Amino acid sequence: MIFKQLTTAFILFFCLIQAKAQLGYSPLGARSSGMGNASVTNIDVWAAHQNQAAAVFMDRAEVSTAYQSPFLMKELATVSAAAAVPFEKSALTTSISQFGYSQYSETRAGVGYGLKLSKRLALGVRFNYFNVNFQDNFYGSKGTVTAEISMLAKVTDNFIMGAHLYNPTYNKIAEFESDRIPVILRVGGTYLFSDRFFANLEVEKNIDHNANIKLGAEYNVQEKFFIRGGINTAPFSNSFGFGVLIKGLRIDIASQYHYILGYSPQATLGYRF
Amino acid sequence: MVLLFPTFLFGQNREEIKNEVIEQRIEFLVEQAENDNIDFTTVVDRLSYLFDNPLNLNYATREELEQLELLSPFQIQGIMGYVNQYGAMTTIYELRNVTQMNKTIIYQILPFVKVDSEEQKEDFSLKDALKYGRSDLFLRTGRILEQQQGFAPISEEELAENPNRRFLGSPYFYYLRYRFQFGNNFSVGLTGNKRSGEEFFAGNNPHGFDFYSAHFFAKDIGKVKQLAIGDYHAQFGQGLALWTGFGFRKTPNAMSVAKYGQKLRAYTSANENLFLRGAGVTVGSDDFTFTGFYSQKRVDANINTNDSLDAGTLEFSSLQQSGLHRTPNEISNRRSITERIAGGNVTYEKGNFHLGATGVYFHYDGMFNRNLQLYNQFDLNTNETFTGSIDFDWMIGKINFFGEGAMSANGGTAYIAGAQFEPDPKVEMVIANRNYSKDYHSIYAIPFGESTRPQTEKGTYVGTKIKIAPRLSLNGYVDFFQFDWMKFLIDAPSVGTDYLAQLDFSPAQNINMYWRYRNRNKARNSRDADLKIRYPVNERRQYVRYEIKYSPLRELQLGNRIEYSFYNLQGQDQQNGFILYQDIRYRPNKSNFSFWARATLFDIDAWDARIYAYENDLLYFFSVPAYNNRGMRYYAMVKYEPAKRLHFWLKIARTHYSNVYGTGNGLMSIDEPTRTEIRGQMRLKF
Repeated sequence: MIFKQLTTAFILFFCLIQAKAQLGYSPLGARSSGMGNASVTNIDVWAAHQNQAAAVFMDRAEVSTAYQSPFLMKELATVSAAAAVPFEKSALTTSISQFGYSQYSETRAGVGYGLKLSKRLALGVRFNYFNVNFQDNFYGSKGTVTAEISMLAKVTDNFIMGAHLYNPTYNKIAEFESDRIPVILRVGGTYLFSDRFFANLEVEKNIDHNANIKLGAEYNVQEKFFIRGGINTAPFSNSFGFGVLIKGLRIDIASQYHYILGYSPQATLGYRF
Repeated sequence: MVLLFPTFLFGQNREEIKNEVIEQRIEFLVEQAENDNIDFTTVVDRLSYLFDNPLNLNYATREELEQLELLSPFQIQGIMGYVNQYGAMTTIYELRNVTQMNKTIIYQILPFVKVDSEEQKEDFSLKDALKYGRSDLFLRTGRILEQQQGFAPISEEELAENPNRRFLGSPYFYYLRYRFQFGNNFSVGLTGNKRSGEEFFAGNNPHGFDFYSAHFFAKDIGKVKQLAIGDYHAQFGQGLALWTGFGFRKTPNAMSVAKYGQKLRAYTSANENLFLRGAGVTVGSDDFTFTGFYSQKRVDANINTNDSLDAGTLEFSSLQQSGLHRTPNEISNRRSITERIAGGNVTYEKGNFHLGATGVYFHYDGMFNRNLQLYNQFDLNTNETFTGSIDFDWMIGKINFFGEGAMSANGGTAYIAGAQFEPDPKVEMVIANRNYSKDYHSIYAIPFGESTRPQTEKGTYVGTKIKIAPRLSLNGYVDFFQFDWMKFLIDAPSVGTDYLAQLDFSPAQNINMYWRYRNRNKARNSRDADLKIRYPVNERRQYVRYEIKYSPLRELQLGNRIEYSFYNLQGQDQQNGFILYQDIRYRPNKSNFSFWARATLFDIDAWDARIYAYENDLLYFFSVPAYNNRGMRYYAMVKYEPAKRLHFWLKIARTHYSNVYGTGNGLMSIDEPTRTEIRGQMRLKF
């Protein structure tokens, strides 16, 4: 019994850390999750959330929804949806995500715009409305507008670099102890070994946390079937996942595994027009 | 302008390459000097000059090529030999035919050289000089936007009681530089500098700037090879006897050990101490030259107020290097001692052989009385000294020998000797041995090695550069050193090591990257508070860096750096540091504007684990911030050229800390978590 209580306390402690990290930003979508969230250079609908510039290089419009359950606790779940519409020289993207449960929740909704400066380079920008809600508004709710800027460069035919800066203005969410939404810089690269296999390396620095180095890879085993894997250094975790693409329908399943806290699965269902 | 290698320069214009070359040098200099208040103008003056007036390789002398400080003696010989054998180069592409040259080095020298079949007139003529000479005017100002303690309001009573609690001047700094130049042969100029907190046309500075410098410099007027009047630099041999200004010591370019003293040079910097003021002249033929010079200037010194001395005799305990005069206290030390320096040099040069002898006499008009401790008891503590040295440089076949041996009046000695060679076309090596005795005295010297002065140090340095593959090269050094006597904060004789390895990789024409690892081991007194005797323990600093620069478009250059630092002092917890940045440089085609921006996130546990990163800045202004604490820093800079001869720069840089609410110490401290620098500059060429 005591063991169980201790475990619960322990998990809650880590959850708080996680919740604090959540206040900022973490990539979404099972494809990203399966690759250890080394996804700043990924070109897919979740670019709406991770790198608005990348959406410019998509072929077709796409929508997607995701459900993530860190450490299999429904109180920490994130529900999200994203849409991306690429045009000839630009892309419009939007996404919304909600983290938490009735006692504490964060909602982030925003629209992004990506602009293609050349066939190898795109820049992106996004504006979010970010809201924190305590106990169904009992303790109140706070909101602010945050910005994001991003870049994707196809430096050569098989080498892509990307960067994403979240909340460059270091906005406050509350005056109390001048609580700020963190600034997060992610810089990463993709190397395409072939049409079917690529690897991503990314460094993420949250202003308040240690740098996280992330490595991820995706292998297109068969035309319609993908497997993915990834590693993070801070906190140390492994990731794995798979995805299928049938007609326009995309299904991705992934989980990260933390050696103390366990599995954090995520599932995505999307449609490509 | 000559057409340069278009393929090499894809996305990287000349200015970017110049900045890279400067960056690699300055970053290490700042780290060694541990002072970001230094004016490095003279260090890059030559490069900046050559950037505006590229050196014609077809007619360049060995000396001129040496002054680039980029080429090895073999490469210099290769270029000169090629021109001798095949005649003048018609395009710069021909550099690739010079066996000793490789892609990396060609890329590095490109901004500073050209090929032209016409030789420019070298003989000096005052008429030509006045007719074709060009004027260059710089005006610069800036400040820190946050209020520093020294500028905060204070009550009259409090200030009367503590006059040193406030700076006398405004928080703005002002800088003026005017220079008239004709080729490389004639230069006359004036520099004025007022730092933040110093007075301007008021109080102690009724004539405006806190510091003024003026120079007149001419070359090649018949038998007179160099003539310097006013402020100048004197740099001889390997820098043991006399070398004013800054010089490179260990740098990431492992091959740069040998120095090429240029004898006399114009002084154009705003540093208030490291130069000579008076006159100097070099006369002679092509083989033999004789240099004589005299300097007399007032320097800042800490004056001891001691009644027992005879009236009229000043006694001082140390020389001040900062050049800051912001408070009554700082002003009281200002220009308080007269320093006189006289000396001469004889040089014989023939082909690949160079032999020189230098003698320098130093004198102060006060009594030097340091607060002598055990560790500094052999330091100069008299008001005069004399230093003599002999230096050489000799290339025999594939080996270039260089060295200098010096002795000061008290019997202290110093020497450095080394050799550069190419055992294989893919491998360059340098080995250098030095031994500076604990009582060797020279006031202006830039020794190669670990210490800032050529004193109390022995060491052997081995450096190499290996072309592993066309796109991959390795560069590194190993330096072992030994201090035979105590040093500041090292209370016993000690040993140390310094390793650096850098792998440069260019997978495509528009991508350059490198990995660098550096490890320094030294002794340092323990910080353990319980110890009764603070004995030295091992201090280890490690730096791991990855940097990439890439150009997805011709007009755009992007880059990233990731660096980790690890600091270990025996008996203490490890301190770590980390920085990550994204760099952008954009110069639209046919536009008068250029843009630079950078976002850095940093996380440094302690000052000992600090990380330095060079930033692009106003031309001739240098900033290499030392990152400490946790937070972010942005900067944005714009350069605007409304006309070919008129340039403007504006830079804003802001650091926002997330774990501290104030920065700086004493009068410089800021009571906010941010620090914002703003500065602008105008350059007018006419």
